[in-house]
Amino acid sequence: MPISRIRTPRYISPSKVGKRKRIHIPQPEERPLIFRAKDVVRWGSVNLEPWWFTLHRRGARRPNVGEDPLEARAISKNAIRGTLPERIVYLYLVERLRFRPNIDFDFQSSLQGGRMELGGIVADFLFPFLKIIIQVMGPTHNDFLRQKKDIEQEGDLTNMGFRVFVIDDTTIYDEYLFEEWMRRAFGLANGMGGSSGAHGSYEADTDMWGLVLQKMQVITMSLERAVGGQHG
Amino acid sequence: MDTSEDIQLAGRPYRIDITSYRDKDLADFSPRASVPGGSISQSELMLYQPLNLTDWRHGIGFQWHTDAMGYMYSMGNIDTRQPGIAMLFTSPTAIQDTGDTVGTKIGMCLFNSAMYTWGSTGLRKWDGATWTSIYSAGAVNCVLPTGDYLFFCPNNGRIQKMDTNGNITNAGLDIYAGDYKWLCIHKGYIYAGKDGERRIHYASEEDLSDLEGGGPKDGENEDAALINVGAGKFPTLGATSYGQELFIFRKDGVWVLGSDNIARRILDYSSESSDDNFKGYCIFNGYLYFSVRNKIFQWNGSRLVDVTPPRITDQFPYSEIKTIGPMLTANNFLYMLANWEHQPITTEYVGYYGSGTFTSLFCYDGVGWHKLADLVYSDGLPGTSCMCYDGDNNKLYFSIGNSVAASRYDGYFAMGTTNLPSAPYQTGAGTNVLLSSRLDMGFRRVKKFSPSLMIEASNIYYDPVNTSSNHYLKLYAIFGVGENDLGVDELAYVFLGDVIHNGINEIYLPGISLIGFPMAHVRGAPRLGIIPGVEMPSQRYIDVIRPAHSVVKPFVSTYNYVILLVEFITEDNTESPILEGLTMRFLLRPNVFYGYNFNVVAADNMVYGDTIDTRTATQIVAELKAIRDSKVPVDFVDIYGNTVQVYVSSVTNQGIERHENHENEMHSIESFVNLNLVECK
Repeated sequence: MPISRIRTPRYISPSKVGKRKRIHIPQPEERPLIFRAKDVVRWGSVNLEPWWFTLHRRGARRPNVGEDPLEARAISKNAIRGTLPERIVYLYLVERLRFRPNIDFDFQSSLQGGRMELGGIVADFLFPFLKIIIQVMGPTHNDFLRQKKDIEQEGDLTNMGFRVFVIDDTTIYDEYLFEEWMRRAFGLANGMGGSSGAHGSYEADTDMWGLVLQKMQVITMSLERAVGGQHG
Repeated sequence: MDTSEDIQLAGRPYRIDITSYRDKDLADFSPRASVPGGSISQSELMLYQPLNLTDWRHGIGFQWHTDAMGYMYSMGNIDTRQPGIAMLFTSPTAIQDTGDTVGTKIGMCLFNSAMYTWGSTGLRKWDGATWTSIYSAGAVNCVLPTGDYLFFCPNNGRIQKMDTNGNITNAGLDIYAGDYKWLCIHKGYIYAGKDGERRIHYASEEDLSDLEGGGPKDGENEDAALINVGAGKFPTLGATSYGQELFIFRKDGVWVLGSDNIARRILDYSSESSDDNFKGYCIFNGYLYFSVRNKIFQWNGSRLVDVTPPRITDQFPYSEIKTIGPMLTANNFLYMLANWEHQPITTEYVGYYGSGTFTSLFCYDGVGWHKLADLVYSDGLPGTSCMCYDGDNNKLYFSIGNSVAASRYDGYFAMGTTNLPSAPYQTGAGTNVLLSSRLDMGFRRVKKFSPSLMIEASNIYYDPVNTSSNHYLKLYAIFGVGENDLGVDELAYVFLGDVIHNGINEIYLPGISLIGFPMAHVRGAPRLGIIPGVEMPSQRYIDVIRPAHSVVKPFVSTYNYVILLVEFITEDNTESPILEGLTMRFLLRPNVFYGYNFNVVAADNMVYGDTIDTRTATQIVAELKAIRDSKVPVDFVDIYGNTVQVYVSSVTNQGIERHENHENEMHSIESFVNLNLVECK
């Protein structure tokens, strides 16, 4: 029989796994001339001498000195490459929870091709023993397309057997809220069932409700896929 | 200095353009420090910066304030595990076993709604009201409660079982089934380790009727299924079931029992084998914790982490964990009895019991260590102590052995149904104290000034007349005030005030008058002000009406660092004062240093009155450039005759005028040499 005549039997429905169209986040175009915010004002042309404008009263000169408190809570940039919120989470995991990097957790672990492959996943903190993932959400994660992409990735990671925790910058920067979040994520003694934290239990609970909402969205999306798959 | 010269630099005189002379402070008045807990929400948007302490969950061992939720340590009964608050921990209730004043209790457990202890004087029972002896024929090595039976192993005797009616009968297959050191349930079997031996036996019947105990010396009665744990003579000490594996402890390591019933060593401590090893072990939050001498390790089956409590105090000789005793998991906390060496930072502060070895209840919440209660102040023996938890009645039972047998301490903590510690709380003053880290605001050598601090508290009640129901806080401070005249670092310990109102209380620091001027003198001593040799006017003293219950000591609150001490006092054992937050108001006050700027006149053969400077302009400029290049500071005598050490940080030579010399046709150039000088201290 000629090769061209060989076909898939009709009783085998071809799998759609891997052929699903993934959400693609458009990347910024490369432009020959890039303006940054600080370049908008040409400071060299501005005369800052006091005779031509009124200085607002600010009291004695009192510069900020010392290390940035947020940087003090973060591991050094030289140790790992990551954003400030990621480095804060990293140091907490290592110093407070005493996890061993690369044993207890992988930082920026690549799944399904990671950044090298379109649609791949980079898990910020992947715990192979505990089967959980902590995703640190930056400020761009509020964009519509990015939200959809995050939900898609969370669904994929859930299918791979991981429980995904999502934490945003605001929570990380507030050390009391962050403490409460981490304790709840790892099942340690926390404000639930006892007294509230420095910010009260409400904010932390709100944060938790956000997680619940995201879970519901993942479930809804999975259901939509399942229903859509059957109809297709 | 000669009148013909304006300044001297490196011993050389110079004439300057006097109108160009400037000296100016180069240090910032009070930079704003970045500190952990520098919450903007506490800022008053004025001169002082806030340092906010409002959560203590990272526990003890932070000598310097590098963590917003850490502190140095506590004395007495203090609970810092709760989010956003610190309060009194439950006071222990004694249930002293007076019928056994010579025995050592090495274990305890719950069975059939009663608590049982065992040890050198056999098996004893606490039914909630009285102690009774269950077995007194000899020492009991171990006990295992199951649903139907309480199995116990007399030393050198056959294993026994007691049913729920209290009937005691033989257990085990035969007379060889005895003298066990430990019993452990694992995967449907009960494993038993022989006392003084390295072999273990196991059985599956609920009444342990099939448990054998014969060894190689017992001939045909040898248990064919016995399991040897390692080689050598070290006996097994205990075992625990973790991660679907049975982990067996010997003083020289940890063995894991495979599905083929072969024990393999998985952790080797043969280089530090000790009788103190594995005195405590338990499973907490998915990890196996165990002690090796005075270290505590966390094991997840593949990697080991040292989680020993950190050094506690901040001065040599340091206080630290010395001997580790039993561990227990309850209510999502790891509890541990341990000895620690108490070496107080000063001998006079509130809560000081003297130096010595104390036995305390420690707690690990997975993040930080907390010292919840000081129980024994001398001769405690954690190695022969025990704990157990009554989950039905929320009681943490303990018995702490003592080198003086009659001083053994039997008691329990009423733990409450939530994470919060419940009553009774310890009444009285002078015992329960929380000590903060050294608050140095990130700059240890820079002096700080603080006028007052805010302390937020709740559940406060204070009646100055009828004090029997009072529950309130007292605030103290230890100031590190730097070196004295002898070059020795000094600490100043002062009482700051009582916190007797709910909400925010402002406590003034010593030396602060209501008009905000520091009282820079010691009462009874010459009344010196901030300018040396100048007395302060009497109306500026602090001796005016103070806020109620604040006491001022003769001390000015400028400091290198400060340790805050909060004492928790209650006269009502059902109430605990609550500490919600401390906000220190402070200014950094760095030492000032000055910079100088002026123009030096450089000219040939300058005439000053009757004298002539024989240097040429070229020589003057060359000198100044050489001074600029000096690697060490040089002396600078300013226009008022004051001498300071400086560096020349900048030299700018500006030509002013040219003089023709017709005889040798050379030019004589006059110039201004602009100098920047930076004072160095």
